[in-house]
Amino acid sequence: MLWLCIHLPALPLEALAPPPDSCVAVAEPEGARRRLVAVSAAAAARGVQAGIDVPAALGLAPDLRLLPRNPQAEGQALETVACWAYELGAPVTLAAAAASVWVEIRRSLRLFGGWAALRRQVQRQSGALAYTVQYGVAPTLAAAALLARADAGLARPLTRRGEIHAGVANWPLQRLPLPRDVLAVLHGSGLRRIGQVLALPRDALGRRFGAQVPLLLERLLGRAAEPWESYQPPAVYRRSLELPGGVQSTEALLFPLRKMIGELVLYLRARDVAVQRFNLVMVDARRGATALEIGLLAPSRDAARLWLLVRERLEKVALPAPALELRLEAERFESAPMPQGDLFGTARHGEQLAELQERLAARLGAGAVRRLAATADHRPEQAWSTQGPAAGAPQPPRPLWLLPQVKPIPMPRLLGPPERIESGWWDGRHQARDYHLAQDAAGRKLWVYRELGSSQWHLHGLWE
Amino acid sequence: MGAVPSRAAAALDALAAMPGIWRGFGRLRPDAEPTGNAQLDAALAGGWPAGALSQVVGSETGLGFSLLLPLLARMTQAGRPAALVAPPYIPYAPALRDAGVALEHLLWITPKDRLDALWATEQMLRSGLFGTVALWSPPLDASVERRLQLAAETGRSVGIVSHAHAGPANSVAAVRLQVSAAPDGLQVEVLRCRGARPGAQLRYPLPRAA
Repeated sequence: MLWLCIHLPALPLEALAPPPDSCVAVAEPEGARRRLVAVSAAAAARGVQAGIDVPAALGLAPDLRLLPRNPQAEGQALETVACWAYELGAPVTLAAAAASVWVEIRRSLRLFGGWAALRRQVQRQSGALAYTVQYGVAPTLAAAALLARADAGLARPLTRRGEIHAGVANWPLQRLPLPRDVLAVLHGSGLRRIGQVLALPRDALGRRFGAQVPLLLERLLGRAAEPWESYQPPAVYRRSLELPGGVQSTEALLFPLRKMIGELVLYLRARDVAVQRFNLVMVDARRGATALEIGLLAPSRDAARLWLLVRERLEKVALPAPALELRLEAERFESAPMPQGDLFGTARHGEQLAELQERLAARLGAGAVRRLAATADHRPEQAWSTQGPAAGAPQPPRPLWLLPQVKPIPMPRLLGPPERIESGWWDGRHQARDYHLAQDAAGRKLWVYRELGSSQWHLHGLWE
Repeated sequence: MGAVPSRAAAALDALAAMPGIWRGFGRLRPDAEPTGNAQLDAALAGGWPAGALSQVVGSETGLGFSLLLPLLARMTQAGRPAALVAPPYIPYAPALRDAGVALEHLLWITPKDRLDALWATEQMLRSGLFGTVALWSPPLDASVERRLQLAAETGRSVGIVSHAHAGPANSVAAVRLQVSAAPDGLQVEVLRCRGARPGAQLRYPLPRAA
C-alpha cells in the first residue's frame, strides 16, 4: 500500500462555510474553559490563533463571532473530500478524529505515469475543493497522516516502509498523534525528537502508558497491521448546511450553494453517475421549508450547468423568512453521459440547446417552455398537444391561430362551404360541428363553427 | 488584358460580400433569409435579415403570423430550432405541420409576464442556437429594442417582433412591415428596409387557401 493522506487543518471552520472575510472562530469546550480550534483568515489577521482560549480571543477581537463545532458538518465535508479522492485512486478511507482522508495511489501512480503526472493531476483537481488541504505520502496510514499534518506535500513521498524511520526521526516529538498527557510525560523525561521515542523498548512504553502507545508506533512504522474501512459513497445523496443566524436574501445563499453544488458533482464523479432531478430545500424557523425541484432535460454532472440552473431558479424565489438550513438531496441517478464529439459538433450543439431550454424552464416555469405536436384527431381541440406523435391523416386546411377559449360571435360573412367535423363519441367528448372560413368587418379571416342544431356561431381560430 | 478585369471583379465581389459594406438599393444582402415569397423577397432586398430585428406591425392582434411560415418551415426542416415567444393565441399545430414546419424543432414559450418574455427572447437570440425567434409583444422601448437587436446580431439569428400597434418611430429594427387584412390574404406594406427602398406594397396569399 502507498497512501496519499489529505489532511484538512481548518476543517472545523470550513465545514461551516462561513461567509468569506467574516471574523469568526470555532470554539470547543476543554475542561472548564473553551478553546479555539479554528479561526478565519480575518480573525487570524487580528492576532486570533487556534489554541488560545475564548476570553483571550475576545480580548484581541471583541466582535469575534464564536461558533460551536459541528461534527455532522465535519463528517459531510470529509465525505466530500473522500469522493474527490476517488478520482485519484481506490480504496479510500477516512477518519473524522484525524480530519483526514486517505487514498491508495500505488496503482494510480502507474496509471498516471509517475509522480510528476500524479502531482499535476492533484493540482488540477484541487481547484474543485472548497477546503484547505495538506498532503503526505507514506506506506502506512499513520505515517502518511504524520506527513500530511506537517504539510510535507507530494514532493517528498516516503515510498517504502524502511524509509519511514529515517524520514521522521528528526521531527519534534509533538507531531506524534499521542494523547496530550503522554506527550507531556515523554517531554518531561527529556525526549525531544520522534526518533528518541522510537528507540525506546516497546514493552517498557506499554507498561508505562498502556498497550495503545507501542501499538501506534509499530503501526506508524508498518510493523503492525492498521485497521481501516473502505469508504463507499452512499446510494442516496443528502447534504445539509446550517446557516448560523439565518439568511434572508437569496443572494447571500449563492456562496454556500455554489459550494454544495460543487460537492454534489464530486459525489457524482466518485460514483460515475449523473443527476437529472434534485431537490433544494431551504428550511426556516417560521413556515417550515421552501422546496425547489430542479430538473434537467438530460442527466448531467457538469458543475457549471447545475449551478446556472440553481441560480436561475433562486432568482425567482422570495424567502418567507430567514433560511436557517440549506439541504441538497438527490435520490435517483442515471448513468453518466459519455462525452462525445462528432465531426460536425452537432452533439455539442444539442447539448447547448438542452442547456438553454433548461435555463428557460428554470426561470419561466416548466409549463412555459413546450413543443407543439399535431395529433391524429379530427376534433380541433384534440388535434394538437404539447407532446405526442405528430402523425395523422391529412386534414383540410387549418387556421394558424387557435383561440384558447372559444368565443360566441354574431353570424359572420361565410366564405366557403362547411366542413362537418363529427367525432369523439367514443370518449364522451362528442362533437358535431360545421366549420366555415369566414370574414369579419375588417376583412380578417376567421375560423368559425356552429353546433349541429344550434344557431349560435363561435369563433375558434384565425387564419393569418 | 482579360485577366485583370475579372480579378478586379472578384475582388469587388469579395468586398461587396462583407456584411459591413452597404451597396445601395436593389442588391441582395448576403445574410438575407428568403421569405418564401418572391415579391416580399424583392421588397426586402433578399428576405428577412439574419443577425437583425424585423418588425411586423399588424392591424389586429396576431395578424401577420402567416408571413413567418415559410421561414419557420425552412429553418426547422434544416434542424435549426425556432421559437415563438408569448404568441397571443395558440399556434395551431396541424396548420403549422401542414405548412411544413418540423414541430420537433419549434419551441412554444409562454412566459407569465412581459419581462420574462423579453428575457427569454434575448437569451435565445443571443445563444446562436436558434435560426429564428419570434416575439409577440406591445411596442418596445428603444432601449429594449436595441438590446434585442444586439442579441440577434451576436447570435446571427432572425429576430422578429410582432406588435398589434405601431411603436415609436425611432425604432432600430432593420425591417418594418405594416400588415392588414385583405380579401384574398394580407396587405403588406414595407415601411422600412435597410438596403431597399421603403414603400413597396404587395398582397400575401392565404396559407393553403381554404
